[in-house]
Amino acid sequence: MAWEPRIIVIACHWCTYAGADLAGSLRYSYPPTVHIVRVPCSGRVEPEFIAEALIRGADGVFIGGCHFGDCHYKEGNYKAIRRFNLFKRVATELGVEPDRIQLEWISGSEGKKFAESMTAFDAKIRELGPNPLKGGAQ
Amino acid sequence: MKNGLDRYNKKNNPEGGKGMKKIEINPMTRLEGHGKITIFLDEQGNVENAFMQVVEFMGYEKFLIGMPIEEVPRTVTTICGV
Amino acid sequence: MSKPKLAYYLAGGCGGCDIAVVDLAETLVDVALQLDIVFWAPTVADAKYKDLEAMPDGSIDVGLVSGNVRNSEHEHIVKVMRQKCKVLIAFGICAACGGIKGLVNLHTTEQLLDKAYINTFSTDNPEKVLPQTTVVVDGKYELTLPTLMDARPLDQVVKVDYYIGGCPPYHEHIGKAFMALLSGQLPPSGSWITMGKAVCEVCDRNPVLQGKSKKFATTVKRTIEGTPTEGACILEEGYLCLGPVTQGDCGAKCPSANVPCRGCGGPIPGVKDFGLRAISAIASMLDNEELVEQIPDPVHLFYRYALPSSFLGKRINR
Repeated sequence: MAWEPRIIVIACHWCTYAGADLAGSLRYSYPPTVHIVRVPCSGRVEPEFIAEALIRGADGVFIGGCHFGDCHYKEGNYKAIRRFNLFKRVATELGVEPDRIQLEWISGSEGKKFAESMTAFDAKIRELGPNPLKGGAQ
Repeated sequence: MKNGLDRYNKKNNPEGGKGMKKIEINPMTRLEGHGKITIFLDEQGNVENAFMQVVEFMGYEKFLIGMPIEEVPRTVTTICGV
Repeated sequence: MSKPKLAYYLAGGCGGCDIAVVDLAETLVDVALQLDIVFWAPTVADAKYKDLEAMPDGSIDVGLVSGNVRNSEHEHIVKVMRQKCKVLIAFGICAACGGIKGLVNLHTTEQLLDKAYINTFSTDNPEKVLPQTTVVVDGKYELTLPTLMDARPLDQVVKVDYYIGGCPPYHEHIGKAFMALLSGQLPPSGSWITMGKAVCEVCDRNPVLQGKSKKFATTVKRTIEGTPTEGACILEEGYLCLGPVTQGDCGAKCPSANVPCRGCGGPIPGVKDFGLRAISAIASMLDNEELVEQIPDPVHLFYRYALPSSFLGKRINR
């Protein structure tokens, strides 16, 4: 069987997850390689989640949250982007391919954008190939 | 050297390569760092040659590169904590 | 009843933890009288590896190992220690998480040897001689050296019963740990011996303990760019103190000396990868996104003590 990527999407309940639901209602399709995990806020996302996903074999990790100013908990998405940027900087220096992790703001009404982002990310991961980190560094 | 001589036993000592008898004192003690002394004996049991080796290597010269200079003094104290 | 036996092995460390035990001073006298120290190599006693290997399995009650496992000799003796000791303690942050010497995992052995033996301006080695695992001198003297490997914390080689962090552990904390050991009041096997508080909780500069609330850091500064205000939180002023995620068994000694904490105490309970939790904590304490880019050299900062125990354990693209 040919390799199919496994992409983990960590979506915030109030915006991105709602956007994913909307994509379904409006019949915008996105690849089945995407597995969505719901969190209350993108600010809940710890770098440890992303690292654990990559070690366990996820080929790509995508974080979705609310636009600035829209966060249900006011500051969560600001913390999310600061943590994400610093984690990406350190992980890149340690050898993780930076294109495997991505953060985007997708609101609850942007169902089409959700589907497009998923399709684009899936295509990018297919280009990168399987994740060499599975099981920890070899 | 008492420890080394106690362990010297023609039957039990490993061959020191090319048929030489050798005594190994490992580790050198009461210091920081791992050192080993290897003494080679001739057929009569006299010392023919002795070598001291430093058995560890750290690598600070390379991994400190890129560190802000004000952090270096706090880091290199761990070369020897004694 | 015979006294409990103690063995101590220094693997790939600096000996500072050994001296920290000796630093117990008067407490050490009380402790030493209650223990039978059968092996302490190579720092304090004149014991040899063959003496340790000759002891019966399981005959030593407590074994302390400090330093990470860096070469094949360390790996072998650490496994012997596990066989001979009933309880094995990873003593100091090198044994627990990899330590500063774990930063060698950022480079290959070839790169490290090349820099140390060939490519420094003060090294005179025109024939590019490097240490080898076997060498025969003058055709008849065969000498061996252990093989160099990636640095690993103790629990990636043998099963560890307890962990004590610190670089070195603060002597009062060691005293408490020894008392707990002798009286048998220990946490469940596999846990850290710690009071469970972060450095911030025991730091005098913590604004919350002074009745104020914490503020975000609006700048990022290197320690050479100023002095922290007396009594004010060092992290708030921008000096990137890792107090929030570090165990505070040391009593916050560094912040009380105007120096930001660098995380030598080990991660607070429940955290597996210290560097990642530190990234999370520091990033969320900064006021805006541009400050994240201004942090100089984040790898040497966040992973200084815990790279081998991190999710990757080393740099992949060396």
